[in-house]
Amino acid sequence: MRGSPLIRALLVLIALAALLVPLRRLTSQQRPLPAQPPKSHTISNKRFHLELTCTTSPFKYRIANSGQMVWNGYETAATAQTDLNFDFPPEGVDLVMDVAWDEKKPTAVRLVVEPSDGEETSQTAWGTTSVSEVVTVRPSK
Amino acid sequence: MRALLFSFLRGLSPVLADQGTGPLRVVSFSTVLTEIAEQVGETHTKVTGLVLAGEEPHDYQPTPADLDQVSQANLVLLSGKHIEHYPDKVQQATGGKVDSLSVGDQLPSLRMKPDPEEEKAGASAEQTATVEDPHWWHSIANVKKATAIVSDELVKLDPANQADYEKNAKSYLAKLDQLDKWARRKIAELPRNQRKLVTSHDAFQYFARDYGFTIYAIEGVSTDTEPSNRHVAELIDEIKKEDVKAIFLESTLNPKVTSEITRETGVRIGGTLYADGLGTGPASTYDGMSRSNVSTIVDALR
Repeated sequence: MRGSPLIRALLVLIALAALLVPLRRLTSQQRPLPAQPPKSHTISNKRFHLELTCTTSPFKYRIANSGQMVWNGYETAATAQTDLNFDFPPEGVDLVMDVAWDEKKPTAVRLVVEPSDGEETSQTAWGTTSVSEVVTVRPSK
Repeated sequence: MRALLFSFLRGLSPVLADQGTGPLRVVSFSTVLTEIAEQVGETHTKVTGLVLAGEEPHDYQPTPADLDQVSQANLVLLSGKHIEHYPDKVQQATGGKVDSLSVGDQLPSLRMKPDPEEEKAGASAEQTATVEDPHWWHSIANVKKATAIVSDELVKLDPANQADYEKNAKSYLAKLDQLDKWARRKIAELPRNQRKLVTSHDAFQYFARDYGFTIYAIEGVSTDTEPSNRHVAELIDEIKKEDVKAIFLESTLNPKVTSEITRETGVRIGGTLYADGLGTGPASTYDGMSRSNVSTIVDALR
């Protein structure tokens, strides 16, 4: 092979560089793309954990979904909790929270709603003898 | 003696009013603003509503007698966002000497296509440009802002009664808060995926934004446009696809179009909504109108 050693070395370098891209593609580990959930308007039935905290106890409570009572009770401790299943459309749900207590004093009430597979939603309301609040729970983005 | 003094003061009151010491004369072109001015102004204002409950504000034209009232007012209240076609006439009547306030223009706007099918029909860019939705009062949050705007204006014109205006505004705002709370609870009875509102004209965008509804309007923003066959056909398809349970009317809609939609879709008429301001009877107050609209919508779509 004739020619300047410098040119020959340069040609070899160019040839190696040209091979680098396909070699890297062949040897690198392909990461599978995350499966995209199909877009649909179907309403899923989901499990939720609900936790209701009231700074004055005892207190009585009632939680309704679309006009239907889904959880109610009388609690002597500061917190009541339960697990519930309900329909969860892509638009979300509005839960109506009604809480009342006997002692007349400023009180904070907090409802936490946590789906089994998503982020929690929480809302706090203040009242002197009762609170009534609409809590909107939306699907995680 | 007391009776003599009383009759003397009564005789003197118009003179005092003319000299600026009587009640402020407020002229309003919006039924909602008439109520706000009455509630906030109470005895310190004499409010004249020129657009009356049940009247169509899109088509209203002031008469010479109305403009005469305008020229003698201390404050003129306009709904704004281009619902009135006559602000220049009002300006002329006042000669620039009367405080004229377009309340809606101070509130954030939702924008929309003036007519749903213009774009598809190959109309020019100017024709299809978005317009401001003028029906701002269907958001209670907007009515609260409007109350603050009117109250501030009355204080500016009559600072001596500032405490009363502020007290009255606070009391009216508390009533609006109660109304909003009631509306949210009532609407919560309706699953969010059933909040699909087919209305005769596109007047409920602010309501839809606040309470999570999707709007399908038969007519555009104004009531003076007739829906095209193509738009009605598309709407029928949407109603079927979205499984809408009811459609809502106003007296201004062509009944032929409604009949066609109900015949083609099997959907029922949910009732009549007050779209363009206060109505009559129980809907003659803002509270009554809002409760009537919300109850009609929720009960029909449930």
